Amino acid sequence: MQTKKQYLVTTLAQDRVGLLSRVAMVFSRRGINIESLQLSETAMKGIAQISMVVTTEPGTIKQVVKQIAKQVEVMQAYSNEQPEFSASLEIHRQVV
Amino acid sequence: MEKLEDRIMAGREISGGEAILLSFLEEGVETMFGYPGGAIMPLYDALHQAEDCFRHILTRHEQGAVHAAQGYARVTGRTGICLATSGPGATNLLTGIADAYLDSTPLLCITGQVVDSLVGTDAFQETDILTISMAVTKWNTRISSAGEIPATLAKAFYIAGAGRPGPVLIDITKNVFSERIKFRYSKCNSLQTYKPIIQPDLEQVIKAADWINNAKRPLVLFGQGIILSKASEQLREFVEKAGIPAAATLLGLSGLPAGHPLFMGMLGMHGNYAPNLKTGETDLVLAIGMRFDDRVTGKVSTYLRQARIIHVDIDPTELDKNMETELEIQADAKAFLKSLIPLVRENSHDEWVESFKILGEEEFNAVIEKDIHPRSGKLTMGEVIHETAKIVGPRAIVVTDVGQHQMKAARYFPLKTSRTLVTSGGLGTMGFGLPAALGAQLGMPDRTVVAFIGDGGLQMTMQELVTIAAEKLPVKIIVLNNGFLGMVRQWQELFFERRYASTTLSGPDFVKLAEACGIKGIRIETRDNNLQELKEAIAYEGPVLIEVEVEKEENVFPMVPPGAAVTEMILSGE
Repeated sequence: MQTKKQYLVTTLAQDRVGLLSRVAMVFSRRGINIESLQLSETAMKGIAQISMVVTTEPGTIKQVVKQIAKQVEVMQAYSNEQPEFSASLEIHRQVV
Repeated sequence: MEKLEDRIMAGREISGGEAILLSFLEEGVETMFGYPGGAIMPLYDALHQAEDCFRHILTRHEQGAVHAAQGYARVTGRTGICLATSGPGATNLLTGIADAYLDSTPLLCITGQVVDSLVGTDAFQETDILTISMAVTKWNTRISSAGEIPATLAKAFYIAGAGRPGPVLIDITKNVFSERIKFRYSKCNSLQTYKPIIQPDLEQVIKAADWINNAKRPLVLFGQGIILSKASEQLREFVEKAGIPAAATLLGLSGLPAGHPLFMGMLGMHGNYAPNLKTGETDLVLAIGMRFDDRVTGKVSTYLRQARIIHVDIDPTELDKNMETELEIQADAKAFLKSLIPLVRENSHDEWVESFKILGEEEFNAVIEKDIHPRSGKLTMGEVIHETAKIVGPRAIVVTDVGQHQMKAARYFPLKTSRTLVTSGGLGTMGFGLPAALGAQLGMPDRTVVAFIGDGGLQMTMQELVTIAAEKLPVKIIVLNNGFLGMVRQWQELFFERRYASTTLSGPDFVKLAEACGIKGIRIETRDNNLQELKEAIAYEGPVLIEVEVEKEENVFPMVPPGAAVTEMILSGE
């Protein structure tokens, strides 16, 4: 049993009816509660960013992120421990 | 349909129902399975006027339609089509959709829905099939205006077949079928948000080749990915060049021909003795197009501990999911093997290969011989399957239901060419066999389709006997009747001190049932005349149901006991 940790999971996806359900389903299937959630349109039209905070084990988060990324509408999904996260923060800093 | 095409050429409008059928024609659809009802009636009306273009099979239950579409898809490699109405029609598809999702079968399910203005009001036969099916579909969506038909269906066909195939459900509100549009179709070949990776990373392939070239006791484990990517030839070329023994998962069977000197049989709980035991000795595993299912690995914490593992799969979520591996390669199996073959040395591992044969002989003497050549007692499933294989020959397609007979068929029917086994692996759906066999026969009308089904599984979907008779499909249905839910009974015997809770099963007179449905019925009770009756029954031209009374309390061995390591596989219950 690994120790649980809190993660921020970011998803970039083509927005459409049911997108949020499909992404949330990946967590609910494993009994993981979504503690905080934000969905907003990005600068790219039609592309939504979903940010979710969840608490789970390190091994599980890797799987969950891949299962989100596998959904047909999803372009990218990553947790705050992956390099994509730091890269996105860097872009954010440069823009702001 | 010519008339319809003329109207399109003239730039006139067509109905949504006609547009769906034209989209099907654009995708090369010839056969579909379904069941009409209120919400989908206008589509059936359009179909009625396009009878020359399609063969629609009216199954006797929607579950039959979806399993038939699966059987069709599994033998042809094409997307299986099924149609159902809203509400109960749609929910009756779910078991088949879930089955197709786990077994990577391309399906397109069209469900009718109540008219757009009534959606969400608990209208008659309204159910939220999109939410219900979300967890078991690769993709699903609703069409609520006819203008969306061409693009959405093109996308649906692409998603169903691309990358790792899977089921797609399109829910269409009733108003759509009669709305009129100008039809223009273009096939979908890529999507911005879904791009399966086909070609492997070359550096990873070089690394894999290096590991393979230096391994002392390498082993290939392959799954259905070999069949789905049409990589049987490449797999054969690779194992022959590198001299590596190979074993298949249940769904990988037929990926290498049975009898090939480097094919060591099936992995997993009821697989062959040698490949299971040898997972405890191999120093390098190349796993291609398989997913380390728990039925394959047994106690996963003990599986392949001493080996380096290279895992190749087109679906990245399978990599590092059940097994931590040393090298994960996201690629199509065929593309991977094509780039690997030139990089591996011609090699042989004679002593290692020989050690499989020794265990194979041990299994033959302890289990197989008794199963396929019993000297006394009632007929056994193994001998019926073994004899049937000799009668129908290597081109036949084998369909099974789920349970003991399924494992026996997987073990004793030598599959020689790709796509000759249709079985429910991941979901283990009882009731799958009969409808899947009718779909398989429609997909491969010139091949013999033989369905092995238990008396339990048959009773789950036996209404499809009527469909088989009505469509004159010459399926050879072999019912292995032991009066038990055999696999559950086996577990009760071995792990529940023989408390046979709800596994004793009565059934109808299957021969009379077959005759009542319009199918020739034959009962075989003894092995007199070397099963001459079986030969004659199979030789019958039309559909035939052969009920074979088999040993009641036969077990499937070898077996990896639940929770045990595969290297602790047992050859008997004693």
